Amino acid sequence: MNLVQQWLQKIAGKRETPTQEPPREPIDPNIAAHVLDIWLEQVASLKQLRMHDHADRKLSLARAITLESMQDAPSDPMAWVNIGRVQLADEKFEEATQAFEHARSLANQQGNAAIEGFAGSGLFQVRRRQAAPHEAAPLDLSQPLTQEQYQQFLREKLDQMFYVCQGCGQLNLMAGEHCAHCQFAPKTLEQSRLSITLSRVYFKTQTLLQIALNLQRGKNPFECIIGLDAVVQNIHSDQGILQKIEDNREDDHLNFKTLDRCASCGIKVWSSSAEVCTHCHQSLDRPVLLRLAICVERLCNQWIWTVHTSESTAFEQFVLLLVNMKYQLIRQQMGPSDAQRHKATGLLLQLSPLYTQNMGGVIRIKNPTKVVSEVIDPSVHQDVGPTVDYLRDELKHFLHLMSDSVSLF
Amino acid sequence: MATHKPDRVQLDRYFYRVVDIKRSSDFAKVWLLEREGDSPPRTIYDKRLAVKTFDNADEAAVVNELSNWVLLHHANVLPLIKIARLNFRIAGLMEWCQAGTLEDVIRRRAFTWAETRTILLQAGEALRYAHEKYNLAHLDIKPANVLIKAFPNHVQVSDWGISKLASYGRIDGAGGTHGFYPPERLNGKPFSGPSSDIFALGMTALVALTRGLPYRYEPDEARYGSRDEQQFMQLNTGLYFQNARALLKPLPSPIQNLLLSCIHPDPSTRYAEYGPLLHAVAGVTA
Repeated sequence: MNLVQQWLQKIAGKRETPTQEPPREPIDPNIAAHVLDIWLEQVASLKQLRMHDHADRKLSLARAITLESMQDAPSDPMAWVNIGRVQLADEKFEEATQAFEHARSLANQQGNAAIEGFAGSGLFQVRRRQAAPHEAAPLDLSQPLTQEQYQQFLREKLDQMFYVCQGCGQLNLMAGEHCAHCQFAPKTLEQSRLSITLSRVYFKTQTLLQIALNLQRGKNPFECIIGLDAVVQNIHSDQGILQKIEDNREDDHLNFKTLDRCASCGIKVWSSSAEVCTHCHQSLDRPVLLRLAICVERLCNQWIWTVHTSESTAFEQFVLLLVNMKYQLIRQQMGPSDAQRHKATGLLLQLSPLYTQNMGGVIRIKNPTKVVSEVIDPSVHQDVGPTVDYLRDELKHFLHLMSDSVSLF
Repeated sequence: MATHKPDRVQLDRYFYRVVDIKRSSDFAKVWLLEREGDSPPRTIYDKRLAVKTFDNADEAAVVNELSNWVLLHHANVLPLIKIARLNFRIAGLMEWCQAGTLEDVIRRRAFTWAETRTILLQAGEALRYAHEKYNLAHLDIKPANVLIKAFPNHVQVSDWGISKLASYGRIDGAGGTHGFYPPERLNGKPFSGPSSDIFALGMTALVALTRGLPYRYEPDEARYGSRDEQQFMQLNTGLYFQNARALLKPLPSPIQNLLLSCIHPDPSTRYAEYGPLLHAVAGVTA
């Protein structure tokens, strides 16, 4: 059985083209690629809106067109890139890897560097989206890495990365881009170096939360982090990273402050679930996706200001998830994936009970619909009751919006 | 209705300048957007785009409707590129059709029968495809929802936003535009989707040929009621049909007969299926 037939059997469950079908025009893989540009965006948006039936139907159409195109031009690497893209959208990572690798090998034989690049990019996407292996051996960075190891290294780094904005102390995902809260973007080499320093490259999550707290209290990072000056100066002029930060500075950006305030009176409405302004009582008219963005932003700050830091992996993973979701929601207007929803709920259940930093209160997440707060020691602070109640309400709202029953329309 | 026009909006992860906002129905707006700067196209995010948003609508229902539109692939259906977010609200992303709509042309001149025939055949094919393939009715066919891709040989039907997936060939009440929906939709009872769309298609052809709807309005609204009330009465009593007959009188009788068969007050006398209708339209070459 040749490669084309194997794939037809694997993907479409048939061995060869039925002879009774009327002849059709051949499908040029480059044209199919343009069609896929639109269709795969449609599939992604339908999945995000949890319209899974419609997404599956669209994906079936995409699968059919790529298979027909591959049958028409089996030695065209673009046809295999197209198959890889559809398999990736279908979360069939093994098949996607095989298709991209075959495309890369064909492109290499034919000396087509552009398509070899597409295939390489596809392989990188597969690795980014695949679940990380649980028992992956740490990479030996003293030796040159293979291409695969380098991609694994990049994926791990990207997934684990976030930084503290040196302008306002908010947790952000992409160093160098404008902060959605204070509009800060590094303008000098010194500021760029500091941005890299105030990130997970140099500090643990727990330390970064402490740094964020100090920055939000108005402290200068050089005053509150011992030896920071030396670390910043030790960052060499790596043109790659600094150039990337330079490029990011040109990004379009959003002022989040205009979104989390009442449009009528301009007052910040703290509760992300509020329907009306607590000050002027006008309707807030917030779409549900914006409510989630506000809720995630509020939780990020609660993790800085209120929640007692833990050394557990679940704690670290939850902060990473919050920062990633905040970026997706605010910068891309993209709701969480099903995997993110389940992960968020699972991590919160693991993290329960959550104590306040002053140990005066506790939040217990008994199940995704039952979150309770309790004041353990009212003497630690006069506001411990309202603080734990506020955190409880935000967590309840977060769990509600992340549940399967909410489509985030 | 005046609409506040912001200078700049966020469409998914990109920012666009707002060129214009057009109200496409009582509950929907179409935003004409242009990307700032000269950066290269980002896959589906073209330099210029049209984006449809919905006011005070149940967003779950809107997504349901737009999801149906995403599935439609036909030369005479305006493709919905993506269900996107415009400033955090659900939005339908479409190509910006520079040539405009039938309504824009009708403001300037009437269509010839040859042009109208092309429109009827192509829009009818789009409606037949949606009905036969997905059991989908449009329910808001009107000149503003027929886009001209290449005048006059290629039109596309847009705005599949209010259609409802027909169950068992019958549809429960939905919106629509006054003047283009048939009398049986006035009483709120179930009606046939294709029959309703054929009525609206006939009305669209009539407007294209004569530049007027077959309703007469008395200016004394205190005595005769508002324009909507007068229209309701004329639809309910079948008076509009007599007016249409008068409007179409200067045209050859095969054209008159065809269009009157589309807009007949009695659904059982009207064309009920696309096959016979399109066959009849193709046969009238006068």
